[in-house]
Amino acid sequence: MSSVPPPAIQMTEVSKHYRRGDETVHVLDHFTLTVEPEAFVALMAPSGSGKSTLLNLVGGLDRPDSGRIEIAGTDLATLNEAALTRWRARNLGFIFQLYYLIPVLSAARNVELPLLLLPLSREERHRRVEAALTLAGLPAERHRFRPTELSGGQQQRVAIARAIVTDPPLLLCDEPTGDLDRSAGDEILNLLQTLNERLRKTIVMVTHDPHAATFASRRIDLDKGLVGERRPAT
Amino acid sequence: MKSPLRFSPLVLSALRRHRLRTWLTILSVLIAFLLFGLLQALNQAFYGGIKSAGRRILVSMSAESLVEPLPRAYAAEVAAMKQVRRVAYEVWMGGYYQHHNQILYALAVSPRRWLAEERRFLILAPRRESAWLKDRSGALIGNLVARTYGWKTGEIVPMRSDIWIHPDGRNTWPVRIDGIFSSTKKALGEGLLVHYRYWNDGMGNPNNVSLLRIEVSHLRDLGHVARSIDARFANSPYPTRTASAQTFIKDFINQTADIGVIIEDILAAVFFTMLLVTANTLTRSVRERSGEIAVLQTQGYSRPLIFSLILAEALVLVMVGALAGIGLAALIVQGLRGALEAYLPYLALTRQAILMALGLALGFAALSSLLPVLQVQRLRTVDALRRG
Ligand SMILES: Nc1ncnc2c1ncn2[C@@H]1O[C@H](COP(=O)(O)OP(=O)(O)O)[C@@H](O)[C@H]1O
Ligand SMILES: [Mg+2]
Repeated sequence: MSSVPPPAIQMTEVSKHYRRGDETVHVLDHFTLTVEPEAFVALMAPSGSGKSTLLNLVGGLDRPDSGRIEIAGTDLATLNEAALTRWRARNLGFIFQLYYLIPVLSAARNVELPLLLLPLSREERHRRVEAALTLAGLPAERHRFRPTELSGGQQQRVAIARAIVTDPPLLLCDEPTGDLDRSAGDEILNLLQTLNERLRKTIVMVTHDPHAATFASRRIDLDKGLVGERRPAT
Repeated sequence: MKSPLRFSPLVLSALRRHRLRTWLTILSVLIAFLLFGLLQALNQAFYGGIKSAGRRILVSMSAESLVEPLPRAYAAEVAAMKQVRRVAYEVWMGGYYQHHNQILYALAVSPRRWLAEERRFLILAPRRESAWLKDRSGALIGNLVARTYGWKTGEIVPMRSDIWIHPDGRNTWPVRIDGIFSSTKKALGEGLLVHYRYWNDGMGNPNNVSLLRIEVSHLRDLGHVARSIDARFANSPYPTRTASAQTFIKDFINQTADIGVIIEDILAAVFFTMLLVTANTLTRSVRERSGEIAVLQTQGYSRPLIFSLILAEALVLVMVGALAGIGLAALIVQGLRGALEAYLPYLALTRQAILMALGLALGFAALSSLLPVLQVQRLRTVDALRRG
């Protein structure tokens, strides 16, 4: 075993195209990207340029046409569907623009869902759910609230708690502030910063909002498979 | 710790999304199983008697020929045998109305014993029964006979016989109609019953019978009793041939089978509708939740697990409705039993019917989750997330 840890994400010459009618859309074209462990990277690009596609490939929800994707040294191509699913349960947290909380379940129940897959006692699950929600900044008296009884920012906090409750090393955020106003959005971005700095989570956030990108420690501009990288002017 | 029950909030959450829809679906399942329960009980009312008594019945006739009679005294002798519960006898009248082709299916019977045996298949006012019991030359007729000839209660009917001639040469056996019954047995509805004594007196007391109907106490004794009866009378002037009544019963079931067919048709339609409703509910529910299901997959929920959750959802939906429906049917049948004791003594929701209902419920739950499972199978996670 080498003493240098492998990159959190290593994408090498990754291509992905979609067919729309007769037209072929090359979303990613020999795309290469390295994300170091414990980095907070913002991938910046306009809508429709392939940000979600990229994140889905990294999360193993979709397969590339060609090229290689390694996450913490694991080549995703070597994992079949079932293995990939198990791998996600332990290694990834997804955060989406639309939260995707189950409306009739309380915040705590929503956060508990990923834990149901792990061999934990009910007490242990409860303990972890409370910890994650507290860490995500949802006031304790709201842990039993339903999503509809929470503000957008609070719902996103619940979604973040759900993503971190299994303690995965890597968080993938797809426009996490896209549905929030500026101040609620900033709180969420501050929370992500905290998770990165204090819990050492590797975070990849895709966004089309330059302001959101300023919260990251590294910003990558992505355009039609071409990578332009520059330091954020924080 | 790893109990599958930990997923129950998730399963129930799917059902709680659209409470009204869930309740309406459960209601449709409830109605299907309520009908199932009630129709099974009705079925039992019609066939239960046959199944329970019919199987334990032997018929004894002359070994010589079909028309040769047996001494009536045999009835008492057979009744005295240990494994025999009771014995009835009858004389085949060979009756007809004005012409030979106007056949009357007339039997001379011991009235009390006949009523005791057949009352459960009859709808007949008690006071008509007692009128007949008192009237030695009276007859009970089935509603089908009454309709064919337009006969009314109180009328005197000049029945003739091809077989039995009075000692003075007359072949008419006039009978007064004391009652008209309807019956769940078609064969009975075509029947005409007179007192055995009317025939016996009219014939100058030969004290013969056409056949004996022997009910044994236990089904396992059937063969043994049949052989003992035939052995007992083998060396008498009137040897017997005794066999199970199954063949007669089979004819009878064939005649009434249309009730069973109707019940099956109704149930098929009801269950098909229920299946459509349930499958539709699940399919919609899964479609509306495609984003949530995709997010579960991003959390590490495998497809097989998600299929199981949908199956569990279907099970809850169908089982709640089925149990409520069968429970309600049991209550209703229990309530009706007292009231209908005289007409349908076999009305009951049997354990077998309940087990069958539960089996059906399981089957329908699996069937109704088939479509939604296929839906999830086709669902691509990334597309579901894109749709939002
Ligand atoms: N399943 C698909 N079928 C066809 N085209 C797709 C599919 N997914 C994405 N695309 C196309 O790929 C491009 C990139 O999409 P996406 O990754 O969602 O971009 P972004 O997240 O940056 O808005 C878009 O033009 C989109 O229409
Ligand atoms: Mg997108």
